[in-house]
Amino acid sequence: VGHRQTIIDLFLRHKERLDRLQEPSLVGRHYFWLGFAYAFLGKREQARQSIQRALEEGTQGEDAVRMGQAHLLLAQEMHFSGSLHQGIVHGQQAVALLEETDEPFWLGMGMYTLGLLYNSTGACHRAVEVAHGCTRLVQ
Amino acid sequence: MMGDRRLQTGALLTIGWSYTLQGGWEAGIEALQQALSLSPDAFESAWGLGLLGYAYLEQGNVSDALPILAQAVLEANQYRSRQVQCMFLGFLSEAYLRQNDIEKSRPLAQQGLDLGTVIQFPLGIGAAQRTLGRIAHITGNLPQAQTYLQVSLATFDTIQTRYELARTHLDLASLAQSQGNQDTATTHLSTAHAWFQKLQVSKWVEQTEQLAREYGVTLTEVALGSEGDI
Repeated sequence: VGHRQTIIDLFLRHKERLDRLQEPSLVGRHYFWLGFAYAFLGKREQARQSIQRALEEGTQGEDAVRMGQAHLLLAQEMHFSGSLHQGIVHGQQAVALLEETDEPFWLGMGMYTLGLLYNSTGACHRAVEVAHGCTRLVQ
Repeated sequence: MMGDRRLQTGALLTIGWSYTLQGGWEAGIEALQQALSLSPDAFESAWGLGLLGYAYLEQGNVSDALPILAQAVLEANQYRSRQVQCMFLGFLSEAYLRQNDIEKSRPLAQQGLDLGTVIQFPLGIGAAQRTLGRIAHITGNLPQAQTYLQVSLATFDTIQTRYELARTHLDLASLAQSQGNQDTATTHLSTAHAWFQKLQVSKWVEQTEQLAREYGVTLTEVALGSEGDI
């Protein structure tokens, strides 16, 4: 409902306790959502730090879902910052990682983000291909 | 499931936007309307509304585009990122410009440029610079138009968004034509033509060829090299 600052405030209130946990999956998930909220508020540096942390926690826990989600957000961040081709690389990594998981929703979101990047570069045919791939996930 | 609807909506939004960029406006509008009817929440609807307004705008249907884009700006302010807000300010500014309503168009474009600069969003910055260039062109301030369009071109070139780059070359060609500089117009049209061919957007290839005929110039071969690879 657009209350992204509320997400950030809630998360930061529990940050110290969370950072003490030895639970990469849980910690990674929280940093993912924090990065998501920061990115949408245009707080780029905080977003990158949070996404990077989510990626590190995902890597440490060998959690392909978290790694895929982090790459998805990095792709989105690259779109915002204008590094479109790097964004496409992250989007492709997100899709490749999420294809190996049982998370069709996040795989679809990875495809959605990749399509956005393709459209922004002008590679519209590729955007349509990836969107059709997304549609097949829910059929 | 809501997740399924979000994915279906996202896929249709991507397809609708893609068709719109390629000049398939009717198919784009149909896909975007379908996306809006499936949208699971205000978050996706706000994005879809802006894209639908843009599709109408590109089709030349400004009267339908304007109220949709005005609503999209409001909804983007509530639900979407500041980057999307910046994009939609640009679309709305363009819509007013197509109506020759400079008084409304200019401050919106400037607002988009200011926001894009604050959040460092080059896509929004380049679009706002281009709109300000178009405004300067229409109002007869050709040196200012030249400045804005050149910086817009540089912005799009930096981030390698080839489609927007090509569209900006069309503006520079139009400006050169107004200045009576056919050689420059030919260069810009030929570069735009090469990019549109590379991107396989046939409608814009045809549009560029039509402009070349109107300007009385002959398109030349432009080598894009590996920088054109996506």
